[in-house]
Amino acid sequence: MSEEESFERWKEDWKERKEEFEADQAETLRRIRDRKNLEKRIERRVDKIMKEMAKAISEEVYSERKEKIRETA
Amino acid sequence: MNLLADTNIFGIAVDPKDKRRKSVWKTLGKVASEKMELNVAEITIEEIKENPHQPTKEKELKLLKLLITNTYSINPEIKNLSRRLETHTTLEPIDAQIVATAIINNQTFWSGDYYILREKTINQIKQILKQTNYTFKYKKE
Repeated sequence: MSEEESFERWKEDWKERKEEFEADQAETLRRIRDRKNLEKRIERRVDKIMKEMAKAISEEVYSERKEKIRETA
Repeated sequence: MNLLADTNIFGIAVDPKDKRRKSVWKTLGKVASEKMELNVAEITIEEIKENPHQPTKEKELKLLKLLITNTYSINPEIKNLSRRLETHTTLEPIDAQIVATAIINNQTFWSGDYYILREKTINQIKQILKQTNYTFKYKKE
């Protein structure tokens, strides 16, 4: 058997084993839920960071502008 | 009785190796004979669509299409309760969202998830609902 043939056979075997593995449906769906929970947590964390950054930037710009106005006056 | 099925119920129903399958089908039989109404949260359909095992996913979606009456989406009331459940219980964001969907829509939450329906979490949920007019009804597989 050539290397390519044995690889193809291995892939088929793996596909079958994978199907067997994913047959525990309650567990598979729990894993999907866990991933969604994680995505939600990351999404919220990113939102929080973006808001904090936006606030910090606007405060910086505001104080710079205030400084310029004071200088020109 | 109106049931809101958690995603795992459809997984258990199509899995021949799951010991809870017989019990789930008994309830689904009652749904089919219109003694009970079966509903789901929108997220359940999204989760089933993400099942990597194509033939099983198709079976689950077919079952869902045949038996469910309503699909509930998120509204501000559900969102609000979900946030409270997340803060004061051990529920994760999506679990809290599904439980809140069942509570707000006056449904019995039906799940085979030991993590969600453990005594500690059930008591925490009930504690939060004490300050409201809602009740938490559940059916455990």
